[in-house]
Amino acid sequence: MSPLNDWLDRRTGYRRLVSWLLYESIPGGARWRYVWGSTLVFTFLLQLFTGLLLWTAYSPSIRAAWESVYFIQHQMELGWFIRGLHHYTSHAMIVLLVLHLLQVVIAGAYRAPREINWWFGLLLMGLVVGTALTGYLLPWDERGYWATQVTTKILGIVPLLGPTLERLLLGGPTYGHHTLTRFFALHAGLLPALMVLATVLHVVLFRRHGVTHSEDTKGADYFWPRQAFLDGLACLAVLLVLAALAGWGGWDRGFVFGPEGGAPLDAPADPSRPSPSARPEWYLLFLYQFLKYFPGRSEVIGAVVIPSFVAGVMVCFPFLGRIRRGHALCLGITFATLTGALLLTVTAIREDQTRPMYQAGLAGAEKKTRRILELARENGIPPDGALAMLHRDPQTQGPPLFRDNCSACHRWDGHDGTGAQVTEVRDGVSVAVPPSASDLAGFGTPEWVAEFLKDPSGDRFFGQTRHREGTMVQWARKNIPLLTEREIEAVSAFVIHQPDDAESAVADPELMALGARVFSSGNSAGAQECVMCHQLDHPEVSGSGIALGPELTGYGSPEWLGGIIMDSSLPRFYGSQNSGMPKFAHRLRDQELQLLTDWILEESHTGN
Amino acid sequence: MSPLPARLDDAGDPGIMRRREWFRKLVGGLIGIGLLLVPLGTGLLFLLNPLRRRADQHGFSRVASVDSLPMGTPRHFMVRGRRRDAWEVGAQVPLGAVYLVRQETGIRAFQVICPHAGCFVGFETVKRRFLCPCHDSSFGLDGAISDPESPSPRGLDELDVKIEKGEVLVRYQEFRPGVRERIAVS
Repeated sequence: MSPLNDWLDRRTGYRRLVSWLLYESIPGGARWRYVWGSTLVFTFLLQLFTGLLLWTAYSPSIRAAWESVYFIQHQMELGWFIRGLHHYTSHAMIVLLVLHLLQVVIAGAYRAPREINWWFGLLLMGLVVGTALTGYLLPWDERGYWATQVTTKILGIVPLLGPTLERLLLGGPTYGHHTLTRFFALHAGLLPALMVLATVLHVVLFRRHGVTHSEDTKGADYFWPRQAFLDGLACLAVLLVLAALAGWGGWDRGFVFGPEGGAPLDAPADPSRPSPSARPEWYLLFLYQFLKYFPGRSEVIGAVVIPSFVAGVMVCFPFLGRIRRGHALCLGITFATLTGALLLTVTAIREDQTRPMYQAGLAGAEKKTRRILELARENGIPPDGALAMLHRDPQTQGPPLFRDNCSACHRWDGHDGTGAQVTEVRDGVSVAVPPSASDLAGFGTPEWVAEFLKDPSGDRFFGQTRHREGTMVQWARKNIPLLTEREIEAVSAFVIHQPDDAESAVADPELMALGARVFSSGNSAGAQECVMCHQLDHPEVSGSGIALGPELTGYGSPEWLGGIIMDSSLPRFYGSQNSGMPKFAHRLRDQELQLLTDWILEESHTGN
Repeated sequence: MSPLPARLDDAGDPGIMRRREWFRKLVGGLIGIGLLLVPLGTGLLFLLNPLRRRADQHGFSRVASVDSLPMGTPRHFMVRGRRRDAWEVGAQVPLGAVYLVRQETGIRAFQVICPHAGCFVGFETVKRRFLCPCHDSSFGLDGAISDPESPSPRGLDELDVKIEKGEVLVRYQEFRPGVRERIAVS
């Protein structure tokens, strides 16, 4: 040996440690079935490493958690890969734990003298699941938030100590800033530290007793090199699978190897909006499904008592294994539990596939996710966070605002703004409600105005209002036949594109001029001018009438639309002719009005 | 030449030696306990702080106008109000959401959080019932459990409602899930 190694060994004694690590005797020789423990150690080290990397970029705060994870996933070099690895390695650890457990149970390695090591193994299993559960919340996205709500609420129903434990875990009476800081401290601090400790003890104890083998085993190997080689191959296989998963973008997209693949990231959690897709990760679906079978107050039995009982029975395996046929019993219990879990998992997945509400929720969540990613890419994320940005986005907020404020009378392309029919219950039956005001899809476009002019008493316009037989309808009946198609187009374009919308004026100045002429003086065929009833402040428009109808200065602009929503009974709008549209001045916040008008106009102009 | 005794006075007295040894162990033990207690005790108090925090008591906040509610079809609305969260105090932050149900008899408000395990309850327009997308608890329009197989231990939590000048005001509250009694989170 080199003098340097001798020098080091005299001072540290490292050779003893190395030979202890490498020259473990394996009676019966190296086996594939002994690789599970090593793959678990490998995946755990991988988690520590990728976790540490993520730690350098993650911020556990309500207005920074989702945002920092978004940045990791979509902006940082290979962020999607590191995060994808971390995510799928946690799944892999669950799978490997089950295989490892099966191998130990089948070999009867839970029995004396290995009882304590069996218990360390169970403890490690609990720690892995605990780390996975706390990690699920950290991105603070919809799925993590709602699924963790269920988990912590189950903790809250544990008899006696439940509510106290729940509050200590959440860091307060409800979810808040300290929920994330505490979950992060558990996920990245306490639980991994305990896992390192328990793993070291688990391995040391394992080395004390060695692999479990039958009495008549012949031959022997050392761990190095044959078993180490098998273990290395197994770890490599695990790593390759994980790397592939990190690049997987779902069945519809296949392998993408980019930010759209790997670990999912939903829209940021929003407690004030529904998110019907609250599900735990697949490996806990069986517990989730199990809860459905315990009505009323028996929830605690399904959620706490039975799972704890099964865990307790497993703790007792070393004692059960001693009695006659004990090993068969332990094997039976293990396989029965796994089969039950498998059946429950399959049932859960099947039920979700045929559940319209769940599917609709998934679609909604996907849409929201796409939108927030679009916004974040375009503008970056403002200091008050992604959720605030989503709350300020007309495309997201417009439809529910329209539904809640306008759809009692108006429609949007026949629906309530969100795509649903407006229904009401009469005599216990759900019936469609006919609109009692105009359909606003397309409002603010020349096409909408032209169609209105041609048929103001139609169902899409004044058909259901007191204006059905009003002055406008009478005017149209008499005058529209006198106007040419071109003149109708011109006057429609003119009312929308004044005052002097530079872009459209240049696009077709002739059309604008014609529109202005028709508006202020009718045409040679005898059609009456609009200005007789509608005022419009424009250099081309002269003369004024009796202002029977709404003033059209700025018609179709956000200001005009906002004004008529706030109070349509003002003299500049319908005045005393108002058809019963309520004032929204005190109902909508300024921001909501802005969002609503922006959505109506944007959606109209993009042709919804 | 004999080696010097450790201490001249008690050399050779086994009784004194035993007592000193015992005293050393006692003091050593006490020091050990002190070394543990100071960080553990103070740390525990630090961690228990959330037990002293109280949930916000909310007043009535405006959530919708009466006219905007269709007859017989529940609709959910965001509720804003004052919220204290650790260091942060917000005046008009989203607290959560409520269902408003308008019927001939009046308007009722229900907490959207399922009393079973805390998911956001949905509404099925066709079957005219609330359905929790998580564990299938279902509730009638009056908030009561509509299916005896429902996992929920109680009906939807009704909230106090006030109508003022055509506006619906609701007092927002959350309740502990999983128990039959309605216990406000405080």
